[in-house]
Amino acid sequence: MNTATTTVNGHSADHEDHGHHPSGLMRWITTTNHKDIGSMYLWFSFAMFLVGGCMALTIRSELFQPGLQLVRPEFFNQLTTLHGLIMVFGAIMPAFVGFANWMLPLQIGASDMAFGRMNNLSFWLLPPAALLLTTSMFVPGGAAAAGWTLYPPLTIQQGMGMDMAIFALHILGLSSIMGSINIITTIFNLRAPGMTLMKMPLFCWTWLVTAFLIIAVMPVLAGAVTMTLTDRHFGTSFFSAAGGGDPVLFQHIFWFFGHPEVYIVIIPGFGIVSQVISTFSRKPLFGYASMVYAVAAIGILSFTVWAHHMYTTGMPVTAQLYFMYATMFIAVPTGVKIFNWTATMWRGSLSFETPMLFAIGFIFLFTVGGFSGLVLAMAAVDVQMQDTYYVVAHFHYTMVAGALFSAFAGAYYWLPKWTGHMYNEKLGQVHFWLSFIFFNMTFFVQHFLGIAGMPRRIPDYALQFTDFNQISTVGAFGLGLSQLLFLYNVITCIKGGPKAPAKPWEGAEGLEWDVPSPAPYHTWEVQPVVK
Amino acid sequence: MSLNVQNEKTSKAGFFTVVGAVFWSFLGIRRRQDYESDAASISLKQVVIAGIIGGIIFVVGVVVLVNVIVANIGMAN
Repeated sequence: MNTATTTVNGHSADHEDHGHHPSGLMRWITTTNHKDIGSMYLWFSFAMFLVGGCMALTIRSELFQPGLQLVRPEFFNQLTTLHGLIMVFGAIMPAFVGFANWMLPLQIGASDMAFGRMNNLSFWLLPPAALLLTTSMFVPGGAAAAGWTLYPPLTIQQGMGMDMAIFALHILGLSSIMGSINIITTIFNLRAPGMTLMKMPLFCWTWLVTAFLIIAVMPVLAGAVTMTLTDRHFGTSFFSAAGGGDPVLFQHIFWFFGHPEVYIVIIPGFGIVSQVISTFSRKPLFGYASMVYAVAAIGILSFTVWAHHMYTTGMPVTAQLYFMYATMFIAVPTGVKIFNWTATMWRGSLSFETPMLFAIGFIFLFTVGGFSGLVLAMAAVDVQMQDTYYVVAHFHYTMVAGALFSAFAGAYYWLPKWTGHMYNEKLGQVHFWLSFIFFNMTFFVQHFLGIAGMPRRIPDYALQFTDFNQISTVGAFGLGLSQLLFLYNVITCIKGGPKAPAKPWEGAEGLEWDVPSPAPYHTWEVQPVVK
Repeated sequence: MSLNVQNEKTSKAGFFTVVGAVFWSFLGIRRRQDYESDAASISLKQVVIAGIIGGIIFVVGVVVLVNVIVANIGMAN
């Protein structure tokens, strides 16, 4: 945690913006400015969040009643697939890259990201990938419909929508890797004098670990989908049993990517929540060193547990036990974080502004998701739960609560810095409570559905599941509509509102609060000296 | 590169110091005093190498444990 004091070499931060401020469309297309690129990432991810959310609402509408009402089963499968791909690769990951672009240089006292043009390219690769994914619904055969995990042999049998999804994943992976190279280089080379690694805010640390994870695993995903592509078009049989290949091989490769990916989407959120809780508890983060250690350990251990997603594929007992024990072990450093956040709040001078509400909501919901993860980690139990709504409930508690709630916490926390205005606090709190209540309404009941045996990824179900499905659907619409409050709040905050001071939060610490609000177009042209 | 990069200290940490730091990181717990001495003495390269070796030892350890358990309860694979 950064408790450093700074001086700016006799050159105050608000005098650094030397009037260079491009405008018009070309500003956004050619920009190498980390704040512009960060803003574009954040808007892009929110747009994709709404697209993926509409798909989820269509899914939930179909599931309001048993029987087929609204969509064909084939289209339903396409919706579940695209919803997953878009939310993971189009919404969550770009959102956190957006936060990184905006905040990393400000937090470590750098004037910009290390590679400006590569940064621009990383962003502008995203819209073509998003177009490929969304327009694949309109090609013959429709979009990919094998689930976001893209298991063969389904992937080998589908139409050109699958090729478009594969190409989109290649592009998205490329973008993520370039973004990660940028983040690592920036952190290692552009820190202000005196800003040692161990003085960095936790958000920087969590992104450093995440960036290494991305570089390590995105090529694995690229390999898996390229092998799928050659199986489809070039006569190979990596995953086709008919040609001597092994469909389960794909699952191993995919989940060797997929499990670290789970941490890629959650670890930057840990960083944001750590800073928010420390600020609104008006106390330094309890166990900063432990948090850094635990995040690094989770980064390494996340590579050792992948086959807990595959207990039902027919593994030997020893392999099942190995993955079960290893998975339970990784819960230890994760659990330590929960204690650290709670201990940070203990006897702190707490106040409950919107970022803090989302951070506390995150802790509560992420703990629920962590516990259901431990239930699923047990091989004997997982055989019952595999591919049921229990799994859907579990990963939405970790993904939505983990990634989305922490992203909202971060957005409200830094909005005054980004826009120069305070957001509407009342509206923010209403947004939190509606999101919290409707989220639980949507997903908590899915635990019961899963335990009762309702399978996931089906458009129809047995009559006895109706009540819980109806509760879940009503909750989903509430959750979806609540997000429009956030959009309204952000837009009104950009347009006006009470002027935000440089440091709007009493307990906030860090270099980003030394620059005025809104942050000038160019900051830290003269690096601060951290003492 | 040392964790305390600005001071460009040369690494002074011994083998067991690094092993200890990595062990505690796997539990996610570290005393502030120990952490501060880690930060001053352990280099980034040491941490990364020790972390990866620690990961391998962890995997091998769990595999051995599992094999012992399976052998003792007489379950065939």
